[in-house]
Amino acid sequence: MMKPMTEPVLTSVIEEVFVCGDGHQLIGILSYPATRPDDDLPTVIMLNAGLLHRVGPNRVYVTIARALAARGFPVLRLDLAGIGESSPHAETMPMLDSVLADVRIAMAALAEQRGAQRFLLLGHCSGGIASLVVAEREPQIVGAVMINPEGVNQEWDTFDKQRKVATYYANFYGRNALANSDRLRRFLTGRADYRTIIGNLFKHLIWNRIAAFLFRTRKAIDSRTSVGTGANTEREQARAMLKAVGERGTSLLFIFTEGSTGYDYVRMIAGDEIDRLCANGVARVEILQNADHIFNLLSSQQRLVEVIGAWVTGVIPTLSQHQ
Amino acid sequence: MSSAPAAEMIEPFFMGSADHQIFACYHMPAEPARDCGVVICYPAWQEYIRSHRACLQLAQRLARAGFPVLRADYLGTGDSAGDSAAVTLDDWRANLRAAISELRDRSGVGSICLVGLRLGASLAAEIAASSREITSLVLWDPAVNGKQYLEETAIEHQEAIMRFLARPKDALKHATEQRPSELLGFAIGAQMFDQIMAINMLAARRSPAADILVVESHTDEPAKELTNVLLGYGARARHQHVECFKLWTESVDKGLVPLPVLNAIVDWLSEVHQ
Repeated sequence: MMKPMTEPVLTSVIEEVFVCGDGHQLIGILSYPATRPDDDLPTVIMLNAGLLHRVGPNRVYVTIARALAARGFPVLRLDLAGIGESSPHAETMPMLDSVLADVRIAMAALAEQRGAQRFLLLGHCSGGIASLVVAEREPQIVGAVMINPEGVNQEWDTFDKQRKVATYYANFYGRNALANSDRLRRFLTGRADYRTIIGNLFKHLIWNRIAAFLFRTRKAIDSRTSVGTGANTEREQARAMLKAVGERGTSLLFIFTEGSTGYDYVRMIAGDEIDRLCANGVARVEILQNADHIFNLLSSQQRLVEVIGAWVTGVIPTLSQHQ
Repeated sequence: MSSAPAAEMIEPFFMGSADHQIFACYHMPAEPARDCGVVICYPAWQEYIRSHRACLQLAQRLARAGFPVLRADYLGTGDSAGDSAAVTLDDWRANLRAAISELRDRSGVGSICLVGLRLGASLAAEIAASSREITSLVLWDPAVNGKQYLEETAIEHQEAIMRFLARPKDALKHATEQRPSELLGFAIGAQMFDQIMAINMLAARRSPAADILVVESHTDEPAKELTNVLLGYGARARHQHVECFKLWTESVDKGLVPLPVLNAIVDWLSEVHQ
C-alpha cells in the first residue's frame, strides 16, 4: 500500500564529487542528507539515459537526486564509462556488460567509502533497461525504477520515430493550423499550398501511421506465436529476467509517459509477467498523462518526482527487510 | 583494463558556498603548457545539455594543445546548486568571474581566453569587455540578439510539444504566451527573461578583447555584422564559417560532435597564443 505524500522532507542536501574506477575513471555526483542518513535505506544509483550525461533529460536526474536525498537516501548520479566526464573502458564491450561492470565498481566504492550495502537503481530510457538487467545479476540491488525503458532495439526506435513524426503532423494540421484563423482562411479560399499539405499528410502522417500499425500488428503476432518455442529470445530473456528479479523480491517501479513506445515495447515482450509481479505486490506501473518521453514540461517533471518519491517512501519497509 | 592517458584525466570539483556551489572541471594542460588559460562558457538550459559532450571534447583538445581549461556549470544548471527558475544573468556573470579566478589560481597563467557558445558567447563578450585580463575571445555561434534567441527557443519549444504530446492544447497555450515561464524543459524567471531580451551584441561600445574569433556553423548574418562591428573598434577579429550541423538543436543520443568547429577553435587559439 502506498503511503500518502505527507512524509516530511528531512533536511538540506549535501552534494560532492564521487570518483571511482578500475583503470578507467568513473565520475558521479553524490547527494546525501545533511543530517545523518538512515543506515537502513539503500543507496540509489542513477544510470545514464542514453548518451546524456548524469544530469539526465532536462536536468531531471538532479531534481530527483536532490528530492530523494532530502528524504534520507544517499543518491549517486553516475556517468557510465565513456559518458559525461567518465573515461571509456580500454576495451570495447557490449553496452549492458559495460554497465554491469561500472555499477559493480560504483557499488564496491560506495561500500568501501560509505558503508553502503544495498542499492536501488534508477534509469531513464536505455538506463531503465540497464537497471533491470543489472538488478537481475546483483542481489545487493533491492529495487529498480525504470522510466520509459526503451532504446535498446533498433526496430522499436524506428517505430518510435514514425509515431512522433505522425503526432507532429497531426497536431500541426489538426490543431495548430485549423485553430489559426489566417491559415484556415487561406485554406478555404484557395490560397494554401495544397500540394505541400497533401504531400505532408500522406508522407508524414498517413504513411507513418500505417507503418506503425503494421509494425505493432506484426510484433503482436510474433509475440503470441513464439511463446515457449525459443524463437523470440528477447521475449524469453525479458520474462526470465523479470521472473528471477520477482522471485528475489526486488521492488520494481515502471513509469511510462502517455503514448510511450517503451510501454508498448515492455507490454509486448513481458506484459503478462509484469501483471503477475504487480498482482504479487512486487512491481508497480505508473502512467503519467500529458507527459513526453524526456519530460519537456515542468509539470510532468514535478509529477515524475512525486511518483518516485511516493513509491520509494511506500516501499521503504520492504527495502529495509530485503536480504 | 589500462588507464586513459594522464593528460586526458579531468579534475571535477565544487567551488563556492554550500548553497551556491558551482560544479566545475579542470583540464590540466599537456606539456609544454601555454601561458593562456581557457574558460569555456556554456550555452544555457537545453542547449547546455545538447552541447555538453562537444564542450568536453573541446576542453580535452585544448588541454592536449597545452592550454589549461576550466568548464563551470552556471548556477541552476548542470550539477551546480539552485533551480533554473530562481537564477539571473547576474548570477551567471558572477559564476564566470569565479571560474576565471579559479583557473588563474590553479594554473598561474598570465592571460585568459573565454570561449563561449550561443548565450555563453554573449556572456563571454560582456565579461571580457569589463576585464583587462581577457586577451582573446572565441564567440561560437553567438546569440547576438537576445530577443531573437528567445523567439527561436520558443518556436523550438512549441515544436517539441507538437511532436511529443498527443494532447498539446494546454501546453501550447502556455508556450505561445508573450513571456513563457518555461522553455524546452527549463523554467525561466521573469528577471532572466528580461535580461536576455536586453542582449544586443551589436551595440558594443568597444572591443571586448584584442583577438577575437567569431565562428559560425551556419549562415548567420548577425554574426558577420558583429565581426564588422568588432573590426571597427580595432580588434583583430576574424569571422570563420565552418559548415556544420547546429549542435544546440541536435538530440544528444546521436552522439554528434562538430569536429570541424572544434578544430577551427583549437587552431586559432594555438596560433594566437603561440
